[in-house]
Amino acid sequence: MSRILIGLDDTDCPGARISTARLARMLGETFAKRAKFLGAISHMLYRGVEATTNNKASCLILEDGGQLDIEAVLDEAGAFIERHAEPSSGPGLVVTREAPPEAVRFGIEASNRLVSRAEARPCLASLPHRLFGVGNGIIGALAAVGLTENGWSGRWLEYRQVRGLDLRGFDRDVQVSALTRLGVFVVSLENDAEAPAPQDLIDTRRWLRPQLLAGQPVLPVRRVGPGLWEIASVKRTERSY
Amino acid sequence: MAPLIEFGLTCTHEVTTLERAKEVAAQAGAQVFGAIGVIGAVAAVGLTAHGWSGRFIEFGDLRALPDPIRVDDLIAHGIMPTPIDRATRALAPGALIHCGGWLSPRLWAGRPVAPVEMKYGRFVALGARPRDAETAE
Repeated sequence: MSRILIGLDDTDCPGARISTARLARMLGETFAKRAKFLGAISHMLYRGVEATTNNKASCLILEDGGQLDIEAVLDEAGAFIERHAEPSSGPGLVVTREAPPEAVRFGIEASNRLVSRAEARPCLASLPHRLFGVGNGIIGALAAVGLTENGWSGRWLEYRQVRGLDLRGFDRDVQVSALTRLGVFVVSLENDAEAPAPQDLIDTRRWLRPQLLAGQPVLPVRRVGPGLWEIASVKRTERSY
Repeated sequence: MAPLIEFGLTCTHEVTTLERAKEVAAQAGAQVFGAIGVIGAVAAVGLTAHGWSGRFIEFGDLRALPDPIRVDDLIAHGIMPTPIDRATRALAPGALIHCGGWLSPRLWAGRPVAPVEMKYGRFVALGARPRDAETAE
């Protein structure tokens, strides 16, 4: 495998300067000279999962062509987390090229019920990982790599398949063709399930976070007018024209 | 396949000609028969090869599936249910999905995918009976 999954969770606390999602982005950027930082995915876990802020855990994807040593990445990511995580947090970190089926099952379980660290232990035995402080974040870190491996839940907070383009560089209204260039697949939720035209505009409501579907960044949209779409499942807000 | 895909995608938003459809088909080594319907036929092949639009009106024993159906049963039948709400949380294998009597999976990533949303406290598969369903029956 030429990619590396880095799962992390519980690096922050309420009112923290750096959220786990932001720390994930910062961490990805530290590897950017040695590997492609493909993106970061946020996974929503069961609301009772210990030590996840808003029940969200993060997973980075690096593409390194198989060049980087996993233990070295673990050490470097661990040192980075120790430097930047909130002192009162209990971070967990998992680094792997491939998450086994047990990790996928664990991730799905952690999305739907309260899971314990004891349940994570057998799976962690075969995966490079680190715990910091009380280490409760290991639940979310393991779940995040499992769910990313599965590829059918979560949202991309970062996606940088094409050099110089990323999700943060767009205005509120985005042309379908611009997203296609970035590597995001735009899909219609309308009954006709038609392909939106390249020149059509999508109102992103300033929340451009494609879903992880089939391992790809996918943006489901609904038609709101001729040549106009809006992203699905986002609270409506007033436009300020 | 690239010329067919490009032609299919173009046909979703531009008027094209029978000559162009035949030209693209020949370029791709595809055989065509008939007249004006060739445009749609070539486009349908291209869009299916692309794999990111359209709906399945038939897929295996789609019409014989129970309703509601468990997530793991649906996956076992080759259809991937996927949440499209804000959280996009992974669905539990035992969760029930209500299909309203007509499950209509989308062609996403080259495979049947059933978008699911939470309505009135239960998971509901998106979709309605397509207009051309009668033709398929």
